[in-house]
Amino acid sequence: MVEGRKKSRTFRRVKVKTPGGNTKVQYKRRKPSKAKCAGCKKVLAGVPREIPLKMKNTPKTKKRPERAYGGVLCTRCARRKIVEKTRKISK
Amino acid sequence: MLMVFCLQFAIKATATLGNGGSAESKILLVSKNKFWRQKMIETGRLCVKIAGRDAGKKCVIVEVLDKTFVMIDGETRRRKCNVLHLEPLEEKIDIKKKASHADVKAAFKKIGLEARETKPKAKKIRPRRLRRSKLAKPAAEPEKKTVKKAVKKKAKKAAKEEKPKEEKK
Repeated sequence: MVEGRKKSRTFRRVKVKTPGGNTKVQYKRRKPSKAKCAGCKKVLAGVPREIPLKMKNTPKTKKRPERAYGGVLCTRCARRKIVEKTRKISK
Repeated sequence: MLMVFCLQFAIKATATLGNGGSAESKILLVSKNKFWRQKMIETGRLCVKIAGRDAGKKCVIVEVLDKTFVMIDGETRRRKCNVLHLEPLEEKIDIKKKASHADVKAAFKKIGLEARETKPKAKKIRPRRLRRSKLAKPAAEPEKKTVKKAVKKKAKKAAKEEKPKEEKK
C-alpha cells in the first residue's frame, strides 16, 4: 500500500515506462489552473501553464505577452481599458 | 456556345458590380463614432495606440497613407499603423507631412512628452571560457616548437659538421 498522502488525488498519476520494460506510477504535482482575463474571464493566450518551479526558471518575456495589461487582460478588454482611460484624461 | 459564355460573363460581371455597390453603401453607413474617427485622422493628430506592444503610448500621425493605414511616430516606434489601432485625441501638433523623427521629437518636447529613442546597442565582448583541452594546447605548442627547432638545429649542425669533415677527408 502506498503512503496515505498518495492515496488522495492531490497528486496526478503519471505512468512511466522504466528501462526494464515495466510501467510504474509516478506521483506528480498538478498544474495550476489556466490564466484568465480579469475582465471577461476568457482563457488568456500566451501565458504558459506550468508548475511554479518551472515558471521560476522561465524568462519574464515568455510568461506573458509584451503589452500593456499583458497577462492580466485579454486584448479586447485591454483595448477598452486604454480607450476609457484616454477619454477620461482628455475630458 | 460563344454567345452563352459571353452571357455568363456578363451576368457574373453585373453580379460582382452589384456586390461592390452594396459594399460601398455599407462603408457609407458606418456608425457615427467611426465616421468621426475617420475625420480626425490627419497629419499632426495626437493619438494613443491601443493594440500591440506599444499599446497605451502616445504617438503622432506623420502621414496618411490611405483609408486604413497611417504612418506614426513618437513614444511608439516609427511605423505603419492601422487606423483601427489608434484612439485619436483632441490635441494636434504642428508638424509637416512626412516630418522626420527629429522634428517629432522636438514637437513632443514642447508638450512635455518624450519620443522614443532607439539606440543601437554597443557590442560587448564577452570573456569566453575555453575548454580545458584548448587551454592546455597553446601552452604545450610553443614547447614542442622549441623542441623541434632545437632538434632541427642540432641536426643541421651535425650535418654541417659532418659535411666539411667529409670534404676535408
